[in-house]
Amino acid sequence: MITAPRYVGIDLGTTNSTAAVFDGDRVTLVRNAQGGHLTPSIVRIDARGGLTIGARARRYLESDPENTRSEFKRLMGTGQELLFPASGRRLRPQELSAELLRALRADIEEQFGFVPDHAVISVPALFELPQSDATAEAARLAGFQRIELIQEPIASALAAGWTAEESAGAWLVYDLGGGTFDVSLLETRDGLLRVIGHDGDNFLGGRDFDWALVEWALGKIKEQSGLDLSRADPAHAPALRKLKLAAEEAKIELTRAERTTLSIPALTLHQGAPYDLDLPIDRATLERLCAPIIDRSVEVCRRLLAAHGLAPGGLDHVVMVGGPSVTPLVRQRVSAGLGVALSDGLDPMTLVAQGAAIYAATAGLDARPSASDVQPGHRVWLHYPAMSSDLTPHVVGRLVEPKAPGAPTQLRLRRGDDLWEGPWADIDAEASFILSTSLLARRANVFRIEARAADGKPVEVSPPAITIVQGLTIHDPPLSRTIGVALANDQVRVYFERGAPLPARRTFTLYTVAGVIRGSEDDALKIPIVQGEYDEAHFCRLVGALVITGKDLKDSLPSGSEIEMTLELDRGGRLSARALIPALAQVFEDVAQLLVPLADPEVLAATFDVVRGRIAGLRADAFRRGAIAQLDRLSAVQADLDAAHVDLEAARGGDADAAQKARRALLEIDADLEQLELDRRWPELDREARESTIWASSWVSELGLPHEQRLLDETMKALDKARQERDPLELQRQLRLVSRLGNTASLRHPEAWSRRFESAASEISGATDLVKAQALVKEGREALARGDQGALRAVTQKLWQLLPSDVERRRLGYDSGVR
Amino acid sequence: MSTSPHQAIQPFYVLGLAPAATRAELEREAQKLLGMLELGLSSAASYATPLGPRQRTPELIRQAIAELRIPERRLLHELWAALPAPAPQPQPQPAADPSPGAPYRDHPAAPPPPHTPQTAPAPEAAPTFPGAFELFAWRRP
Amino acid sequence: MTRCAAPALLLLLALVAHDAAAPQINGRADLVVAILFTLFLWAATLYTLLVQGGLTWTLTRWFAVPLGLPITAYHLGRHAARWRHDPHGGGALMAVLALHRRPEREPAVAERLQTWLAANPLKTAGLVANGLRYALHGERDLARDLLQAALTAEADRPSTLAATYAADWLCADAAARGAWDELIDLGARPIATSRGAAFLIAVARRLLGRGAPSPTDAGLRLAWWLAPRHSLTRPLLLRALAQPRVLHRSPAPPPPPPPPHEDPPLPQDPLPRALALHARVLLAAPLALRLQPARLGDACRAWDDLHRSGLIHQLTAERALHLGVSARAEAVQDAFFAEVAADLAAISERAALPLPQALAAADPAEPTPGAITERAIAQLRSRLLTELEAAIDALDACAARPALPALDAWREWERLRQLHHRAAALGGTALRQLVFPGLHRSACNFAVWLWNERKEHAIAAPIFRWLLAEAEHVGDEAAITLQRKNVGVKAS
Ligand SMILES: Nc1ncnc2c1ncn2[C@@H]1O[C@H](COP(=O)(O)OP(=O)(O)OP(=O)(O)O)[C@@H](O)[C@H]1O
Ligand SMILES: [Mg+2]
Repeated sequence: MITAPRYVGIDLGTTNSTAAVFDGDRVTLVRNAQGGHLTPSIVRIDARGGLTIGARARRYLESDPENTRSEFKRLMGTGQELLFPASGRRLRPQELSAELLRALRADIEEQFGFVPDHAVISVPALFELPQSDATAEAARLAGFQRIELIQEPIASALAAGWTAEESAGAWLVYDLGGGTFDVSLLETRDGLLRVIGHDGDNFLGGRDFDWALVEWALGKIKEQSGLDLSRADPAHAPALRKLKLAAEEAKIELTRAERTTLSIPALTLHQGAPYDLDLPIDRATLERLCAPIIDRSVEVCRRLLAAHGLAPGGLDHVVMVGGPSVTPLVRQRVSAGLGVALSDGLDPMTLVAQGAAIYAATAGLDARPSASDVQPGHRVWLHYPAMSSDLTPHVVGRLVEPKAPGAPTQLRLRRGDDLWEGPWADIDAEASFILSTSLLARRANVFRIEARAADGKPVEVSPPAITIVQGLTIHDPPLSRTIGVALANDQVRVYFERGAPLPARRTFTLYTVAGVIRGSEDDALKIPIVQGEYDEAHFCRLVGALVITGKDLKDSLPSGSEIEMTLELDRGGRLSARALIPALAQVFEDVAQLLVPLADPEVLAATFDVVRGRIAGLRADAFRRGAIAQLDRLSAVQADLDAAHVDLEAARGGDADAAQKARRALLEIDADLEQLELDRRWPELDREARESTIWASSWVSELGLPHEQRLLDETMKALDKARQERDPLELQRQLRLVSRLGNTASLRHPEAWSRRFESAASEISGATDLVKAQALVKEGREALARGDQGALRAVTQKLWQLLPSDVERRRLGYDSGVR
Repeated sequence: MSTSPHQAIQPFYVLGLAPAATRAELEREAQKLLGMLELGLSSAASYATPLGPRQRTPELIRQAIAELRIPERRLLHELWAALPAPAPQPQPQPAADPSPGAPYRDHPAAPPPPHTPQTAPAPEAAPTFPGAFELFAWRRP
Repeated sequence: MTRCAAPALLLLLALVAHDAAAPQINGRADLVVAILFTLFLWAATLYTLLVQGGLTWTLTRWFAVPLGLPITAYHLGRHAARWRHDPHGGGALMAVLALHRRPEREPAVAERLQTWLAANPLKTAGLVANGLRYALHGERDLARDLLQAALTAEADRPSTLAATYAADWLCADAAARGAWDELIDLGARPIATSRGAAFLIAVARRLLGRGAPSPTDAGLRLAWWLAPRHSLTRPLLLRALAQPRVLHRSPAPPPPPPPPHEDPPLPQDPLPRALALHARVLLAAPLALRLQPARLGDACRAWDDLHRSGLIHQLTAERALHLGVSARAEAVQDAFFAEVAADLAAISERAALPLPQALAAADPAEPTPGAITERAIAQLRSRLLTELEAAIDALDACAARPALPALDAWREWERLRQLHHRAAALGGTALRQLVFPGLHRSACNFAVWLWNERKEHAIAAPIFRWLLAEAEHVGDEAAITLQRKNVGVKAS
């Protein structure tokens, strides 16, 4: 008897985790010991080191918060250890996740009678490499032999598409979870799912509703009793924790009820006496508090649609996922904001786990422990898709022992329902064969393998049958965020675009910008690997670096040496890198894998001040110029900064998650400011471009050679293009060329050096050594008065050397030593 | 600066299909070729391009099919594939170079590729004298 | 002078002391003193003989080097009068020569060699030793560059022994590659060549019928007989003798390389035809040796024509409709031509063949580039300029690193020079004029820094010479005056 395969999918959520098992026809949700499908992602360790997980641990969240941890998913990849004081144990976030996974694994064994070895685990679409790595490690620690990661929105879409009658068209998956918001645009054509784009916010979710409610409650408490509780004060943390739990309960209750009360007896001590909280709240209040948060999420959806040229009405399906998405207001605002009806009949809480299980089938990850059952018959190796959208996929195979007596010479497949049988396929000289199939749509198809020997007698083969599931599939897991190498000019050499199919490997030739002397310890070549969607390296997350010091080198490496840098990602998104230096025939492979940097509140505060200063500067400038549009945009940025301030305060109070959120927010604000700055500078740059071209073309037409004239025409064309496309870097590059042409021509003029001197002299305020520069200017003026062109020339050249260079830029690009 | 000429790693050539192939045909073929490579079948080991046969790898196949799934990328590749790849059998062309970027990887100073001396001894080619280093008792580099 | 006087004085003192001590040998201590004095005397005598009498050199050259004793070779060689001006470099050179005699590669010795070679400043012998060390490690290109540079550095006094070693290796290298024309060039330089090299140069002259008058049979035999290793060189002698002697040969252009294989017929439709021509260009591997300019020109022309015809526009519009991406058809077409242009630019660079030249070769009547070729030309030029800018920046950065070993400084310069050489071949005078001002400023500062602060005259002098030549080519009067002065300082 052939047992059907079992595919396991796990949604490892911030708040709740779920497991599901797919057998090719149906998805079954795994029940936990309490009989529910959702296992709260909470771990408790008591004084004796005993572990409690899930709903039972949740009960201690209030009474024993020190030893009960939740929301550790948000710290994945940070390397921060969490202390359980009662037992004295310190666990990393991935170790806590591993405990959770172990519990789910046990639940599966309980219900299905086998311990899964393989599984698919979902991660938020915007997870970065260190976070994905940590998830994979958690699975390993939990005892899984092989796992694959899938992004949550893809899982949701797969699950939704699997059940939908009509799946073709554009899909939007709106996944608002406990702490993260993911939105993905997908497209299905011919039964294949394709991710068109992702967007989202790693720091937006149900928690924000809770905190909004808490802030509101704090205001009310202060108003009513003068009790001032603050998130920035660690002493208030216990009270705030209780308040947040109550707020969450109230929020959930308000999805159904119209009003409820926030009541916590003995919330804290106030003026020496216990303070009991009893605060009525109605749905309208909650909705008023949450509306801005929801609108932010809808805005992200629109941004995503716009980025792919889709009008809001152009969607065919909108799938709502995650706890908060059951809130009526959320459904209503999303539906209105996107102008489409929401798909219904899907369980927002378990959809991700279901999709992960279906994806496990696509990836061929049968979870049953590989049975070493030796079945009788001639062994064949087979290769086929475990799940296929194609109705007639090929099955490729090879006989293991073609020389064995009585080996088959022909094979074919017969479908389990006996309504279809394939043509006989011959076995070729390499003992291989290709079999045709015919699948029934949307179900698991079992095929028996029939074989016959040269004399026409049937022969037994092993395995005797295979199963292929027909349905919506996605072939290769896509990369969640663009990965590249930071270059010395703060640009990014993109290796893999977001959405690139995994596994992937790519090699680029990079060039060193400075020499590295053999044997020198101080000399190091650093190749930073970054992840993110920005063009400037310093806005992207540094996820790893390959450092080659002079001590590692067989010989000195001059600047401009070639480095063949290969980045490789496996199916799970794990990164490895390899740098080959052809001139030395040396290979370097150890990448310093980086963790998500811990966000130190002090550093954050300092950054915060810098950003605030920058905004103030820009604002003053905008006022002076009367640039209303700029001012509007600056106020928006200011609002973001104020929001970040709340998190910064919470970070001071010891909330590591809020610290991460603040860090990210500050980085994004910084990027916004950069854009603003560029917009401000653009007219200036543009003017400079126009002036330079006029200046250069007059020189070239007067003193230039014919080929210089031609070159100038070409360059001006390129310059115009850069201006139209608002590409500042390209513009500057072309501008350099233009001025070089103009310079070359102008040099032929007898007074060339006096002009150059004047222009250099006008820039000395930025000189590295102002005193020396001023002395040079004086000397130059004297030479000018004497009419000594040679001296003037020498002075000007010395002056040039004092003017600022591109050191600053390189520092921004994570000190990259390559270009 | 990827080093492979476009014609060498053209997705349609990699899959051995014409630009008119349907999406399902492409997927099916990719799936089949991946299977054949997995089982080590030599018939799938190389593909024909106008630049001579090239080695087919699972990576190339996956990249090819991923490219062809995106409509605008497919359109671009259709243009490149407008020249049909030559029939694979009678190809006395330069032997397949295992590195996909072969035509660009010429090192002028490197010794000539091993097949040139036998196949094309140009009639008045000047002689080489590899023993010249020994003449001065130097080690041959 | 002092080096000569000191040992003589020592010897004298020792003799006097010896005589003074002789009559009083009675106690044990006296015996020891006497023995010590005697030993000292002998050592002093030996030293005088060895160093001043040229025995060190003889021992190094005929004993340490042939036996493959690098450490002995270094220490003996260092004291040879011949390397008076560059003891470190000379010693290292002898050590490398000895290393060449060893059958195995010895990392430990190579390591020590590196430290000897790191001694500053780097002079000709040091340069040559470095070059031969690279040769030892199989890095032939680097070795060739370094040894060429050593010869250039020696241009004013070409007779030194180091130059002879450099020339020997370059001759051997050229002969091994069959690059006989390089041998003729080497032969034309005023270098005292060894007999082995002289034989190779004679062979080259006979084979190509160029250079100095083609040697007679007798002349060839004599050169062969004078050179070492007769059995090894006999086949080459015979091959050279088989070549008829040429007295005057008009410089006939070398015949075009034979096409690598039969061309398949070209398709009729413009797009497949352009693609086929494109493929035909890429089939010429390696490009730098086997690409015929006309072929590249044909391909460029085919793309330009195709672009002008607007055919791609129709084609993409039609297919885009079918694939449901009509809105992007224009962008796809652009991307396609951008890829074509990028390919053409890369080919032009690899083949060191300027596209205008290729176009002219294909059709002399119609040499103006069309839109796609223009794009490729512009792309290549901008790439070359960027590369050069980066190399110039790197040169500027050198002066900020006082600990930079001389050899590395030289390599920075050498890289820039080669890059410039390649770029100039592709971009012509226009490009050279364009980069000259910046290049001149940085390279001149760099060379002045090397000369004044690092005293690396052997490296700096060729840079001044190169700058002078380049200034003369682009016609920059001020630079010419300046570099004339710099080169002049060197000569004095
Ligand atoms: N009925 C409900 N109404 C409103 N909010 C709810 C409801 N049920 C759960 N939530 C909220 O949903 C959040 C948890 O959602 P969910 O379980 O989807 O998150 P998760 O999957 O654990 O998180 P993530 O996807 O970010 O990892 C919590 O903030 C919880 O308060
Ligand atoms: Mg979730």
